[in-house]
Amino acid sequence: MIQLEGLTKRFSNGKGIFDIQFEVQAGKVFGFLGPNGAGKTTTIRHLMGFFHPTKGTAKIDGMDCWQDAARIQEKVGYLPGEIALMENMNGLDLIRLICDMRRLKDRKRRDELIERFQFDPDVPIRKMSKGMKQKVGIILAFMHNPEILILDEPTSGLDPLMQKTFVELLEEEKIQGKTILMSSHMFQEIDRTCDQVGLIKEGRMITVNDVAEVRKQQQKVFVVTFGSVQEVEKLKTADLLVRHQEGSRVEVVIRDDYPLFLKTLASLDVQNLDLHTQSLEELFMHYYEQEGRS
Amino acid sequence: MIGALYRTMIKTNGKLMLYMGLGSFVIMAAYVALFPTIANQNMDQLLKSMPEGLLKAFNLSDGLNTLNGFLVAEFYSMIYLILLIVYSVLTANHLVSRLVDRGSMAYLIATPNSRLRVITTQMLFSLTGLVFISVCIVLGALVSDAWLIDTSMLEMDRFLQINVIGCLTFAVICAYSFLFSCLFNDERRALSISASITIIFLILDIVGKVSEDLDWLRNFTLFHAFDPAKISDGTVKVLPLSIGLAGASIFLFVLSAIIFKRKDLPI
Repeated sequence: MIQLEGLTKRFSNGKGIFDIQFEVQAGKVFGFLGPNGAGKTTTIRHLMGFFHPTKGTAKIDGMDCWQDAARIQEKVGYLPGEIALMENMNGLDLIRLICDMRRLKDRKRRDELIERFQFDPDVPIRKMSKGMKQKVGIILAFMHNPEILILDEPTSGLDPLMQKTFVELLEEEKIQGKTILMSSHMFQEIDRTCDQVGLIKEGRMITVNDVAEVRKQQQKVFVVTFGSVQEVEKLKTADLLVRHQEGSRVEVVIRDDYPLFLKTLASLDVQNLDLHTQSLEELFMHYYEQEGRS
Repeated sequence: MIGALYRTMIKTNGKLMLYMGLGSFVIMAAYVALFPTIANQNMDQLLKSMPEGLLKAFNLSDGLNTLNGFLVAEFYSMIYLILLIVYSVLTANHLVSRLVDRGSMAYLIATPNSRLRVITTQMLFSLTGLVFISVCIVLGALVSDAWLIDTSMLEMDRFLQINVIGCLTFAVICAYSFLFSCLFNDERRALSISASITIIFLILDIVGKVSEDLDWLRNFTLFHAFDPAKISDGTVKVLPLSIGLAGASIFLFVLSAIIFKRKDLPI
């Protein structure tokens, strides 16, 4: 449904995206993962026909994203990464404008979404909080029941409760067979919904893989505090990777050796166990190292 | 052209043109209504004591003894220009580069409408405002001339010619402001370039009129095309000039549309 072939965009400062290649099949959810500034938004802008590629092509449903941009929009719902709604109007005016520009007659879905996200559409846009604007963006992207959804960091700006509502919405769309591409800089955000994950760094794809595979490869860091330093020595005899030690507090890196880790811990005097939050690079050290070696 | 977008633009950006239209209607009506009182006070005697260059700069050389001459001197030489410069430059900026700079253009382009249709709608809106303000000005004068003063004093043909040429001159200003608005993604940059160019045109025109020696400067300003005193004299060939101005603005608008269609939009 979505195909990128050797997509390259070189900006005048030498940065950009280079030879991006992946395919999202109909009905699949693709998580586009990368740190900030890696080129996720640039790639998405090509899909939307905002950017003209230097080289390569981006296609949606067989149509060229630059040439046939307007026709493609009939099937696509888009949520921009930066919420920049038009000002001088209220939320409902903007929603109505986009409805009319889409020649959308059926307003049922729209009203349903407004209800669901508990959003007051009569508030002037300039008085809206970031979260409210994000809700307007979500309604604009979903109200015409598009076959394909392109979502650039969709949950940023939403509070945890609304994030949950949004993930539920995504899961429903997925069941209906929608093709979804969503970008994120946090694996946890896409872990639940995505079938496939594409990792991008500094404008280049590092890997495209099934989410289950990627999940296996991700490493987690647990911070364990023991009752005494002797306990740490006992832990070290097990075949586990201890990254850092500070007295009786250690950081253990785990990829898929959970059973061993748990067994070892069970026999020791553990006082506290915490999950260390990591950047994408840490989470997928394995892939990044491979990339570095090749 | 997209009807829904056009109506939204009227709602969100229409205030500026509405206020300017109503304002100029009132100013124009007031000038026409005041004219008989001023004409009786032998203003011409006073004017004759002033230097020639200065009179020319403010289109006063015709004197103030006809209503047309009075309006040319009092309204079309400065207030009119400032009013429409502000409108043309600001509107062009709000309609394209502001939306691109702030990113909200994304929502418009992400609908099944081509960029060409979006940009044509914005162009038509900017021209609508220009025509609306021009019509308000003309109506202000006509209404006042017909009902507020005893005998009608407006030379209608020449008066309409001034407004048509004025409107077409500003269509060119709208068009090049639009061009810069399409060219630059930075709102402030687009605004400052179109504003500076227009102000330079205005200064060249005034300086060229004040000094005989610097008359050649006027060849480099668009305002050379709009000389209300000469149109009032009847020494301007109105038809070829109108065609020329219309052609120039169409050319610039088409060029802006092509640029907007082909550019990368960082939205």
